[in-house]
Amino acid sequence: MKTETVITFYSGLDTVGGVVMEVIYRSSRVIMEIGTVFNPGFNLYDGNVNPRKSFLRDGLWIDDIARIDGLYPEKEIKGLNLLSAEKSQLQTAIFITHLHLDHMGNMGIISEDIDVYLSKNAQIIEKALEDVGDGVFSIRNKYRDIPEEVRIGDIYVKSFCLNAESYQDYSFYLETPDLKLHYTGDVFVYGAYRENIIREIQFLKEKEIDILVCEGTGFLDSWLRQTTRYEKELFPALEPVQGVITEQRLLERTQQIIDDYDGLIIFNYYHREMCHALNWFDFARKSGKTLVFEPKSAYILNRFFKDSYTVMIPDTYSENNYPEYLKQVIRENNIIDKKEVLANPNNYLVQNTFENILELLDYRNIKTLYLHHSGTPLGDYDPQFKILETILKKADIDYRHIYQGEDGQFFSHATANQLLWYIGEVNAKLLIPSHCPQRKLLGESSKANYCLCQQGVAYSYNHQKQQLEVV
Amino acid sequence: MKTKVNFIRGLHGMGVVIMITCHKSRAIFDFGAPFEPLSQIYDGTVLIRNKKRIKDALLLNQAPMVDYIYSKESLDDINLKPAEDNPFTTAVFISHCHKDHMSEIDKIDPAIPVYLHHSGLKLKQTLETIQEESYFRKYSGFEYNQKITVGDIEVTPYFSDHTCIGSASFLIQTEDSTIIYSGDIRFHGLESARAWQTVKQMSQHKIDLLIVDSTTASASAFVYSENETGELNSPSKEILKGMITEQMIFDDVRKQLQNHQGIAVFNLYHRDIRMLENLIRIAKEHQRKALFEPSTAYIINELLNMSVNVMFPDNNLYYEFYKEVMKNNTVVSKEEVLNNPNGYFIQNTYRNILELTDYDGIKGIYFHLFGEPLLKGQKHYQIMKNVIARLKWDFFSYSNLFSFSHAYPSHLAYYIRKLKPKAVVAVHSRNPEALNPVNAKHYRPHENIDYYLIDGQLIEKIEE
Repeated sequence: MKTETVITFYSGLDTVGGVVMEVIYRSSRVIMEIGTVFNPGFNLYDGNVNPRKSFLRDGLWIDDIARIDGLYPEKEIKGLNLLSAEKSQLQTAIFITHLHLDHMGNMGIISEDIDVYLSKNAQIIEKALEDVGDGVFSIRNKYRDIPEEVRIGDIYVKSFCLNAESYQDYSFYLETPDLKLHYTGDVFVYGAYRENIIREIQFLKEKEIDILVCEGTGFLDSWLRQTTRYEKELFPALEPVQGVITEQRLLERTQQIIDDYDGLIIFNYYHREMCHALNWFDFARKSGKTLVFEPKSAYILNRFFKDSYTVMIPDTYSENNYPEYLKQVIRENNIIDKKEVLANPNNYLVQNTFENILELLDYRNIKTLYLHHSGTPLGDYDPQFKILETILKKADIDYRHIYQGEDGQFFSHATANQLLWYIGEVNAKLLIPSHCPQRKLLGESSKANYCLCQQGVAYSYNHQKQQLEVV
Repeated sequence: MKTKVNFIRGLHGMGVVIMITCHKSRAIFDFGAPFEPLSQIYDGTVLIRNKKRIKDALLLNQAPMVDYIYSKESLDDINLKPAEDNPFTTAVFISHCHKDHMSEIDKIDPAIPVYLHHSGLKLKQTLETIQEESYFRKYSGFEYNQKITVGDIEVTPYFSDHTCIGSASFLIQTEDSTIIYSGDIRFHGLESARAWQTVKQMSQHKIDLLIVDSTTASASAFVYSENETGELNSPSKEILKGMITEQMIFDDVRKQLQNHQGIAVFNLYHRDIRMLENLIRIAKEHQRKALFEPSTAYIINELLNMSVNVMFPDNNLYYEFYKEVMKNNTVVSKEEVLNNPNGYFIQNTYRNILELTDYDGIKGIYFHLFGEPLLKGQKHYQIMKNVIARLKWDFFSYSNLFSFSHAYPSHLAYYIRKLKPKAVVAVHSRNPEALNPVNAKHYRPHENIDYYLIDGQLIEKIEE
């Protein structure tokens, strides 16, 4: 008994991020996420190639954008062998789990005829990011808030808000007349997530779902090397295994580093992460230090928390040509001079983003620690990390990544053990691993019935065989 | 014991800066940052701090750490003596307008004159207009064979055949020494006869020290077997096996175009004005119109005083000079090219490489003529090749940068033999010891040390 429901993955199966999954039932279509994936062979937009007016066509040409019928405006794809949104017979909606580029980087190029569901918080942050020039390339400015449940034609979609803070993280349960499927987005099981994900699991168990599409970042080689350091075999575990710490422990440990350090502390967080900003508000409050933000980050914080902050303007801005957002930041916040920080380095926690990395050279004559949180460059696999190291060396600044410590490492996704626990708890009839080059290992380790889908292939689900079949 | 030479930088690679002092006079030759495309700080994301650009350039080892060159204000907290306290009569001479020789001149205090050949000066000003270079100060022009006096130092620029308009070598004379700094040189370009003629002219002088561009001595730049390196290093004016001349490159472009139907694209470094001139000529020979991006068209208008065909890339960028480009050239649309792909020879820079995707499906040929990205190890070079491969076009590149722009080792040896210097110092090379000094004493000095030049000997310390 094969379903009429058809599932196609356009990208993001073997890569970290970039998941684009399409579910069609008759004339109804739901697309899970529309992210970008790191594309080193055609990594043109690193500041060295000018983006063109034909951004969408170029994106399709270099495989940055998935070739999917019925999503893009007619005028942008004229002459291409692709059906435009205007001509599509399908009722389509796109759902975004969270505001990371690998999950939503291409949402701005979707035709306004298509509903894109993005959390209200994420919309606020994205708008602020666009105002400061860090948003996605966009030809649309309207998104729909994510409701608890909604029908897209014949497809029922139920959302689970797993983290109500920051941009909000969601997972989505989809039910067509002949299929029950759950799409995890990124899995995380600590802190605010834990209670929510347990509720989600309970629901999915009761539903006896057919398919679980589960991300597998925790199975990345480099992550597994860390999480299996002390264990010979992978096993399901909700609590962190030896060598892994919880979010709570991460916060305690970071606080300790800050409290113990005699000198200036620079921090680099991912400025769309309001949760991380909240962490820094706490660190500052508990240590009695003043947080100093860069203008772009302050602008986002202003919009999100509707509060005012201490801001230092980097020397990268030209005084006679301040952008609009900076003028607004100056009006809404307390601006301090670098001289004040240099005179009293122990009093401040100063944010530094990679684009303003040369600011660090001004601190080379005072004792300074660079606390790396979640800002780019994320690790030594990124060529920009070499630049960061060069500047830190020239400025004689100590470096520490807060996720790494003697008592264990913190992971921003569920670890392999936690994923196995989650998969076991949900107990779907079929597991589709995604979002990871090691998805086969995830499938095998789960001991579940799993399927390694191929990109661009349309599948239906066979209820008897509990397997996907190529349409 | 009056003349001192300080090799501030460039003894182990590019970014040569040489300071020659005599009494209270100082002449500095070249003032560029080391050429390190594989470890660029300004990678497209890192922002420049205009207010602290001089301080940052010093700390990032782009601008050289030299006293009395930079203004007090610009030095910020850098511990150097400011230009305001300069006790020397000082001038800076630039051999040519390539970044590794001049990128830092805009940081020199405006009270210190900076000289470029008048064509190089015109190029620099044009590059400022198209915003490829920043404008922060004025510069002075020199003519070949016209002596300039800097207090007790006399500097005479001579023609040099490098890949940049207005390239020069310098004869530097003090009361007790005669020095030649070659700048970047080659003897396999279209003007090699003129270049050898200049050598003859310079060889009339008794030369104590020759500071010579030895780029091709960098072992990795040449693929020669052990038993061939002897011949490679022996003085000769010949073009040896495996060497390519500028003429050969243009001949090959001609040959490829001769049999090609479809789009033809080239990517060059638009500071090489002569190459621009030649490509316009080659296009015409093949019934194609050379078609340029607006920045290059503006350079051609200014430097060659001619009007060309121009196509504006499909982006939202607009610069003031576009008005002039539109007024002074013939604007060609993409549609016209698509309708007649055999009719054009099209310039494409890496910055606008996406323009090529509009020609997908048309047979194409791409000549990489030393434009950016330059080196095979660069990730951008691979991306460029990936784009060409996806278009299924033929890709042509010509040997490596060094053998095109710089003198071959055998030519260098011949050059040294002709000039008969007492001493020679190799610069602009990662492998300076490989230079054949012929009969001269080959010195391997250290950077940032004052050497006395006494009768052709470099002496670090004088016993009192």
